[in-house]
Amino acid sequence: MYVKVTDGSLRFAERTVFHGIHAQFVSGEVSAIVGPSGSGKSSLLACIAGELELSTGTLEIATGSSTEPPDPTNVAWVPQGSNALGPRSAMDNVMIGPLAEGSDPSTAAQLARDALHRVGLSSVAHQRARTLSGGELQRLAFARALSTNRPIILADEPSASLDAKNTHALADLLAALRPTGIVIVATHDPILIESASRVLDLRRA
Amino acid sequence: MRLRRDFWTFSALAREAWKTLIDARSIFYVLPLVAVLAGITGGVLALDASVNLDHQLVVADRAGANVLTVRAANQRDKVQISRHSCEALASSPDIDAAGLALPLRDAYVPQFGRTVPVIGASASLLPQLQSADAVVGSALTKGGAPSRLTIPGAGNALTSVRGAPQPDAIGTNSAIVLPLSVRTQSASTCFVIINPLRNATRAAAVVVAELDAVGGPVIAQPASVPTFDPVSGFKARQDQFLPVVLGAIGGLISAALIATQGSAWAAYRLSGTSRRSLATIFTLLCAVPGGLYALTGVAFTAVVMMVVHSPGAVALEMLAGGCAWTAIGAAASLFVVARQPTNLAKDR
Repeated sequence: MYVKVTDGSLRFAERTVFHGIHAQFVSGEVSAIVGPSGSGKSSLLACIAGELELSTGTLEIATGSSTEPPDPTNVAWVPQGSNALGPRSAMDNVMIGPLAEGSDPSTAAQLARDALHRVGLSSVAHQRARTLSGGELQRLAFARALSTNRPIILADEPSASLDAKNTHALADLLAALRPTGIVIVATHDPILIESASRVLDLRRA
Repeated sequence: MRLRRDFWTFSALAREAWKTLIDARSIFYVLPLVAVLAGITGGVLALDASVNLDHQLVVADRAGANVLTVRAANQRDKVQISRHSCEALASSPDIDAAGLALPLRDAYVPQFGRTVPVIGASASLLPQLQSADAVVGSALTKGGAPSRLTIPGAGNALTSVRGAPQPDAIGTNSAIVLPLSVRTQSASTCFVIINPLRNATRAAAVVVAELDAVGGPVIAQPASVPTFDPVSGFKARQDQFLPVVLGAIGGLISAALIATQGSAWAAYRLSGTSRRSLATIFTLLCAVPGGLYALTGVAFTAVVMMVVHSPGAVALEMLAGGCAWTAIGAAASLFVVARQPTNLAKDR
């Protein structure tokens, strides 16, 4: 499975966000989209997620021999910062992914436990999200993404509020997620860029 | 762009909304408390309006607004109204009491140490005459009536009770009232006390039609015509819409709290929750306190049902308030539903 962008450009009114993008993001790799603020990293992620449409060019998701347009139901988002239901437990936070997929509560709980285990948060599963550290919240967001079993994980500036130690831990986590599917990270963090298998620099695109 | 759909079940969404509401550390925990307080407030306002109406009715009653005096339409006619037909009115719907009341004489009453007027009245007009030989007008004594009365020409050991205050127009408050003699079969005047919640003027035609009178036509007139009709004022009062207004305010508070939690809603949306499912959670977040508000108001009204006028109408107003809470809260939250999840994620 891969995501292929051919001569993609995006414009809002008179402003061109990016143009002439050619890129391919492949399953089993962690890809980094880099570039300065305003270069369109988040917008490209939104296009891959199907939240925005390219102004020109094509964006295809290839599965086996067939291709299809971007579909939000294929994508798990890890947003910038740490969105969480503060008063609820880490388990509850992760369970909303499988529940949205139609899992019954017990299945959702099992998927959530598995996902928390994969990101190393089993020990805080029943702790309220608001008591978790910034790094733990970021991993919680990845656990939520993993629990949905969606083939594409998009992360927007996931290390924005993390220190170096937590950023290294996040890089390790991203590396561990490679077998999950296509992992694309919009970032300008050198640690995450260095750990990525493939880098798309929007400034040079 | 494809329309995103998800596979949330309604029970799972309801559980999410419920957990959000009942968590003591959640900002939404305040909503059930606000709903209960608002429900009690709505009930108290209805109770206050009823108490005000009762007070106004008492004032109007004392002035005789609900007393119809039936007498000759033409003063020159010597009209006689049948006692039987007058007293029979007391059993008609919307009529509290009816009968004759005739001044008999002034008599010296030793128990009072002075001369007081003595009136003969129908027991159907003054029901206390059914349980005592004499009724002492409420203005004659501040405490209870003497247990025995001596009234020349009537008896030496008459049992007596203190009369309940009557409309001034009947004239029994400052007199001692005895049962009317069986020999009295007619009189020139018939008194009719209409239910205070009914309009005496409108009842006049019915009353006249029911009476058996000879000697000329009769006319029924209120003893006093109030400048303000308390019942019409009660029905037209604007504060009957306060339960709905309170519900609407509750809905706006719910929507405001929802709007402050963009980051949390982003967690749902970015986990595959559709706009429709998020809107369902928001509707439930408004419907639960809205329902609690209506339930509290209705329960409060049920408790004070004997004091509140039209408790059914008050209950309906509270239910309308609960619906307003839900509808306005859910509608005002739609802009949160419409926001892009990636934008919601930037809220802090």
